[in-house]
Amino acid sequence: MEIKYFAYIRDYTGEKRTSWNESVDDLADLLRQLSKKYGNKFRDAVFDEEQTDLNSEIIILVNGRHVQHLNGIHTKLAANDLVAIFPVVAGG
Amino acid sequence: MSSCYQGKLLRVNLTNGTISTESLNQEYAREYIGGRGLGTKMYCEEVGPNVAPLDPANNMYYLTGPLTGTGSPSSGRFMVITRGPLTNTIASSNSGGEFGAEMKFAGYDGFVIEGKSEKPVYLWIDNDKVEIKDASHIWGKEVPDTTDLLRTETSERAKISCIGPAGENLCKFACILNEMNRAAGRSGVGAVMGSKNLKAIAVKGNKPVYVANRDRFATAITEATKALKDNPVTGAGLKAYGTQILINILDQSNGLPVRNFRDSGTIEWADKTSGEYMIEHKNLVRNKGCFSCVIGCGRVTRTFKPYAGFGEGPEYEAGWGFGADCGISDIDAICQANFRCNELGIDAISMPTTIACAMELYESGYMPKEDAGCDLSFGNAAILKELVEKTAYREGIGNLLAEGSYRLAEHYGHAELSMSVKKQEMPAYEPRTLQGIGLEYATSNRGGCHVRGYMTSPEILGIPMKLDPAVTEGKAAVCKIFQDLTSAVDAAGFCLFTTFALDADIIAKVLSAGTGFEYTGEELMKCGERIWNLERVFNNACGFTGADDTLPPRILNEPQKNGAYKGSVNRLHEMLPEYYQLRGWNPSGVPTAEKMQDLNLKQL
Ligand code: SF4
Repeated sequence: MEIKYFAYIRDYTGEKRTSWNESVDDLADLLRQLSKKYGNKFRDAVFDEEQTDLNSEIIILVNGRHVQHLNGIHTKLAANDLVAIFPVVAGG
Repeated sequence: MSSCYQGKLLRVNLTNGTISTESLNQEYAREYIGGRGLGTKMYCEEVGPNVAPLDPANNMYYLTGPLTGTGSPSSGRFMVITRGPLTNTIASSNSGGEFGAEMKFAGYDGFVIEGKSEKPVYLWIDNDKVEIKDASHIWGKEVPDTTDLLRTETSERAKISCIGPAGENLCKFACILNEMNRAAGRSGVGAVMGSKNLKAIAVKGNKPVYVANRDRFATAITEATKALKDNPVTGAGLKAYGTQILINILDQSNGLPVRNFRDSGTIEWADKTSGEYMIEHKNLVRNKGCFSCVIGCGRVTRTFKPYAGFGEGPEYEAGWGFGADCGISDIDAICQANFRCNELGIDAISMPTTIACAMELYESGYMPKEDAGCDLSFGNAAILKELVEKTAYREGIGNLLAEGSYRLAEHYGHAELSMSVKKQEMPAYEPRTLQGIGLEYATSNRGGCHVRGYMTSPEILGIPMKLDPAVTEGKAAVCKIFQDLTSAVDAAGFCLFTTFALDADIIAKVLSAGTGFEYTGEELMKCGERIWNLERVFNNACGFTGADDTLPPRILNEPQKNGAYKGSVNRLHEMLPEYYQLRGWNPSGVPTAEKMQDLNLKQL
């Protein structure tokens, strides 16, 4: 699975992208695994306060589709998926 | 009663040299607010639909919003309203910077420019003293030189609004630059100014701008400022990254048009042209804001050899245009071409998109090599600067480029390759991915445009609600609301970016306290609806019909070839009838008698 990070999320991960080969069930599972790797700042950026849902200030795309229009934090993931993580900062 | 209107307009006739002032029509101000609304109302009353864009009888209205020049946050804007040569529709171009506020400080809500001077002139407005001055010595000069020279000649404190060579040479998408880098950009308002032999307006003033109710105004702007600061986009994102940050998110969302919309909505090197990359690559020098702005999205930037330069921008749409749309991945070349647009006075959206169209015509063999005069293949970064310059001076292929993509493509017998609506080029959002933006482009009153609604906000950014870009259901209603709201925001003098954080109710509070007219959020939306409908009535009177509310055939018929939206086209037919119905228009796109009455509008 390929994961890409954008804007200030890169400050928390220290990298622009990573290949993730661990077994992953759904998006929540992936974000928990990634939070272990990157630490609290990353965790707090992607999860809400209760850590049960996505932070309202995050945009996550799976294969180009906003997870809101898939199954939210419970979106199932497969080995060759592309996940992109953005903070809500953009405007134009 | 005091109010944030100055209550006075300046009228200058360049044909006979007369200068006069007149009172602001309060009834119009109440119903149309100012800026885009008031300007369109005055244009319809005074000029009407029977005057061609470059005819001396085509007036120009430089109009501030009532909030311009007050302490209201991010509301220093003004608009130029006229009929545009690119589209032949009403053209309203909005600009930030400092010029609008200075108009108010000089004591005016707006300037009405009539007629045509025999020789090049500029206006020098120093409070009540207004002169028409000879501009022969600056005619032909680029925007930075013009601005510097006029400041030296008038006052170091003067604010300058001017055209570059592109406007003088009647390039159909020439713009007007304010304080060098802030453009009234689209639809060719700079060509209208050029056709009048008006090179520039210099303005300086020191009059106060009052508000109707100081305490209420202070409370309302405190609330608005807090909302802007607390919002992730207006409080942090735009300041840190500017609008070019959108490149990656549009690319990852498969909504980034590539190579004249020929290829699907993503490109492997998008990150190399992104806002993030510009920081990493040290293009970004610092950020910069317009008058009274608490957001500060502007970027002072530099580029490196072989495309060395210094200036501002690009905004996302220009960065995308010279980048993905032309198949070019070199950020320095992209920024440099954008600098040249500002220096020469060219719209940095229609320029690259017209070049992208030329590239496709060339690669398809429709444009002969002799005509091109250079290798016009997609991806050739080395030719961008030269093409911008040739366009401004109408040299070689530039003479055709200066006509815009539609007339260019039509010249070569392939008008379908122009990615335009009503002859104005569509900006940086793929309508086969974002269904709603397709409806927005098709129905925009000045042709292809992203700031006549901004459906990207709900469809990609999830603000203020998350709408699935792939569906058409419900898009007509949201598009109408966004169009009405942005019309009112433009008229008030607020920057459109405030709508990421401010809703109609907060804006109405600020406006009421400032103007002394009482608006609820609902009434504000009705003003926006009135403005939108008046623009429509004007365009219809000019001969536009529902048949013009369409998209290029490629967008409607050619499915995307790959990516998340493989197989998709824009399904405009599923949205347009509902949109007309919600607008109270008949199936041909004409406002019904009831709707006209409801909005207090008359046929022209
Ligand atoms: S948000 Fe940007 S464009 Fe709008 S007023 Fe502020 S600096 Fe100018």
